[in-house]
Amino acid sequence: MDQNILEVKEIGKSFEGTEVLRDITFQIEKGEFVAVMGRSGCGKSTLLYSISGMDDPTGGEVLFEGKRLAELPEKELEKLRLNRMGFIFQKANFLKNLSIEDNIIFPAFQSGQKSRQQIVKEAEALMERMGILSVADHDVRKVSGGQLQRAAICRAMINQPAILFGDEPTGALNSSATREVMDILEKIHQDGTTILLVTHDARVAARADRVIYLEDGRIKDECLLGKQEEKKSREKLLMEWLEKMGF
Amino acid sequence: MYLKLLKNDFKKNPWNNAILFLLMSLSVMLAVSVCLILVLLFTSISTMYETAKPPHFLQMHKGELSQEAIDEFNGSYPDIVHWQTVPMIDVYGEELTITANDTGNSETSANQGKGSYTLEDCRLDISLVKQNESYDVLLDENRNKLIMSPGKIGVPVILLEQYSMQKGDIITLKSGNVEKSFEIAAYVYDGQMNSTLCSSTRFLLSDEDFDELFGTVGETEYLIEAYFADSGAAAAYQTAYEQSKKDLPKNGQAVTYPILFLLSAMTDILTAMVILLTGVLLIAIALLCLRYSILAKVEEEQKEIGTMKALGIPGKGIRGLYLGEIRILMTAGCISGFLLALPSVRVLSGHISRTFGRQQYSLTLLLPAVLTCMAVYGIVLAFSGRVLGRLRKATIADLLITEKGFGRNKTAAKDGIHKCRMISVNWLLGFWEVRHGYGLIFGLLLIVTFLMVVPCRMVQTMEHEEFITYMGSSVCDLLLEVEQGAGLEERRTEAEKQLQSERNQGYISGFEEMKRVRLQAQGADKELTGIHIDTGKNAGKGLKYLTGSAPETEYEIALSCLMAEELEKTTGNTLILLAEGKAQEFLVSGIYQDVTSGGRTAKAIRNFDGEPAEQYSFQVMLTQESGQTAEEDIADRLRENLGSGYSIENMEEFVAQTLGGVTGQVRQGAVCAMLIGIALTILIVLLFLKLRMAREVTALSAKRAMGIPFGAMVRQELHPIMIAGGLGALFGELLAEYLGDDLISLFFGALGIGLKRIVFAPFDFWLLGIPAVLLFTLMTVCSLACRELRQIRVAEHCNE
Repeated sequence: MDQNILEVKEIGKSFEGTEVLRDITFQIEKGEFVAVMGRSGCGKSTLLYSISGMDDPTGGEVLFEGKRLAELPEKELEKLRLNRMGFIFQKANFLKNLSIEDNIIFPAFQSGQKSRQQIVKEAEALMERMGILSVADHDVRKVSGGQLQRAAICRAMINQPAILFGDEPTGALNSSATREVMDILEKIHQDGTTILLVTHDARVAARADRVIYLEDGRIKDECLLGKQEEKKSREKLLMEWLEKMGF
Repeated sequence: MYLKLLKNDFKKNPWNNAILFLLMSLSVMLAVSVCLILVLLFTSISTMYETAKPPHFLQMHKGELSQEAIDEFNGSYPDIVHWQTVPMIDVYGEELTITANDTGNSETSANQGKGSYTLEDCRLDISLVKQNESYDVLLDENRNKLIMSPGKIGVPVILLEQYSMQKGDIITLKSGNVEKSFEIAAYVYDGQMNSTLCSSTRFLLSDEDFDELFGTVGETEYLIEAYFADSGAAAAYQTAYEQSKKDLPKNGQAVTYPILFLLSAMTDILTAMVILLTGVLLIAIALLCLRYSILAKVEEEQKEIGTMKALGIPGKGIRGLYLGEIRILMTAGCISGFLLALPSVRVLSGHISRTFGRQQYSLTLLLPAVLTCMAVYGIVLAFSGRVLGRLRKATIADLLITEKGFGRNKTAAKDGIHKCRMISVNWLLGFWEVRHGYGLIFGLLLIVTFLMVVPCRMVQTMEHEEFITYMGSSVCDLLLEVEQGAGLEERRTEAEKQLQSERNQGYISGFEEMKRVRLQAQGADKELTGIHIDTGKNAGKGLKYLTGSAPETEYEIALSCLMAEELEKTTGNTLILLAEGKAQEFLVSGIYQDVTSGGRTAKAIRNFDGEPAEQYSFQVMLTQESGQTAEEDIADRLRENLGSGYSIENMEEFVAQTLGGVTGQVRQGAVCAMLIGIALTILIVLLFLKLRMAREVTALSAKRAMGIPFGAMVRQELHPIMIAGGLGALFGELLAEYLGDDLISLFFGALGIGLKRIVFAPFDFWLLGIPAVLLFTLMTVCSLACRELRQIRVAEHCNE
């Protein structure tokens, strides 16, 4: 059985003649936690959207669980995004007319694979785990940024995706909220979920197993942080490497 | 600077601005159209009246008259400036045959279609007249006095709607032993008998032809006309005339100037009313859209507004930026709306020029339109200023830090989808979404449904057989009237005999006889007033009563509302009538509505045997087996057996002929309202969705990112629109149903023509087709517009 959940082969992306991504190739194994770093405008977010089926690369191919994304019809891509992928953005982008809990269970209802009771039970378990059960019936505009982002993780996890994509998920949070969110993501990773996130925050990237550094739309290098337990030493290792990358 | 801002905004939101511009143009166009139609109508009538000089008081009279008595009475009446007695030759429709011109220059109407036809089915009394000197003059379309040469005839222009009489056609009069042909040389524009709502119409002959025929054919009728320095003096004159001890002629209807004016203007006033309703509602929709658009824009630009505030730019200055754009848009809307109104008024005022002659636009005509235009401009700007008032209230923190924006704090649903077992998520979302920002769709559908249903209900009511009850008559299948004139009693006996024969043969199930008498009634101030009373054992039954009910005993009387007002009587009061040589006391049993005979009628069971009849009528009921064809057959047979001197019509035809022109105009307005309603729905829903998608692009992108299927996303957009639209249509329909007739009654009440309360005809299920069409339009437009959801690029918006 293939160990790679995602294979990216020589993909490129250009907008109106400007090449944003060039010749990107890498793989992500099941259960791996990968961070993509790089300076602003280097193409991190474009890479994330191109490999998650939200945007079409202009060259190369992306295989998710062995399926070529470019060959899948829109309906199949929707299904993949709904059931096999989870997304967290810098802003939670919740539906304002729904409570926190309803926002979380919304994708599960759309998926239609579980009963209502089961969905609600799982959502409440997730919220309890993330520490936001007390704000379940709150308005999305009346909770803190950290709580909102934890709720966004719950929403991304409700259909138990195979991979979780994050686009600067802590970009709008203060340091304590960032820590809380990253602790949760780490737990999710430990439970076996593959994570790929884009960040410019070294302390966030230090939680990953591997960090890919992007420069001018190309992969410049990779840093393997492995499974070291000691947070401090991982951060130190990453900082030294990033310095070498010119970050 | 404002122009530059608008230009940039136009590039950014072309749809939004284009739709707003269109709505403003349409609003101005309709407002200006109503104004122009009304001004054109009143100017046309006034200009026509300047030359035509219709009488301020008119008494019709059949039979002998004493001119000396009239001269003596008028000579001593203080305010009178002129009086005249106009002789007329009354002929029956069947005595006039129209033959199309052989040269082929004239068209033969489709309804006649056989080359020659008679006017037997004309409901109006036909009179042949000669031209008057300088008062009550008959005109041509350019409002010049018409002069006929011998052998020529002028035909009333109002008959052209029913008969296709062309210049050059031949009209042959066959009456007794006399046969004479005339060539149609002109269309007559008649200042006083220019509506099918009147009871008579006049054909113009040369003096020579008239003198030749006068006394030899038809019946002689006179118009006794009086003129005053102030037309308002006519009412007092009428009372004096009716109470005069001199032997003044009174055998016929009496009408005063205001009623003549109103009957002339009625058709076009109704058209203006429908356009006015459309215009008012359109302005309301335009304001709703403007509000939605302004709010969307300031919400979108809240950070920029916050920054301007932070920089110390005063609220007035920021407000001015937005108002400046609206000013430019509105100015352009006013200009284009005004220019669009001019050609549309030409079309809509076709009836005015056909009835009252051509009227050119002049400065005095256009000035009120310009003022209307400015009023709409003022309303829109004042409203926009009010909406933009919330810019002042929002603090810098609201705009830049908490991003609370300008809106009220909306709360999310607490009992959300996780608690609901019964309804699908997409529908549930629809129900919650609908509370936020869908007021525009609700308001739109409410207004548009109301706008479309009310004119349709009006047309349906006017075409309904029960509308006859507003004309002082109860519903029956056929109405046989024994016309005024010589041998009235003999003709009544003959009619009764014929009807009995029809009943014996089983064609009709029965008939009710009604005798009309003219008596004097004593008003609250003890003054005597003439009153037409329809008597018979079922008199007043089946009418629409404002208060009370039909008379039940011989000493009860029901009054028309105009008569009750004039006599200052209400239900339960006593009324003194001078009948059979003595004063008799009657109890007013009820007050009903009647637009005929100037609305001054009464109904009583008492027969007043000692009083001569003015007219007889028979209301005929067919047997159940008789259908539409049998109705026609019976009417034809009666016409054939009875000959001339009778008017026999089925009720539908009676109503159609009397109100056909009016109903046609209202129907035309209703069709316009429908087209405007549907077009508005399409435009505004497109505008709404464009703005909504622009505003909600981040949330929609998030949905796309989550993998919510496209179909589900479309349903999530469609459901709240359909819920809001459905509720709007429902309330619009209910509002039209419960308030529509009140609105119309208010209007008719203000006109003072004897109609105070109109109740819509029973609801027909086809009327549900109107909201159904609107909702289908809504659904189609929404589904098509939602295709754009596919174009949303998640990557561009998710992290905005």
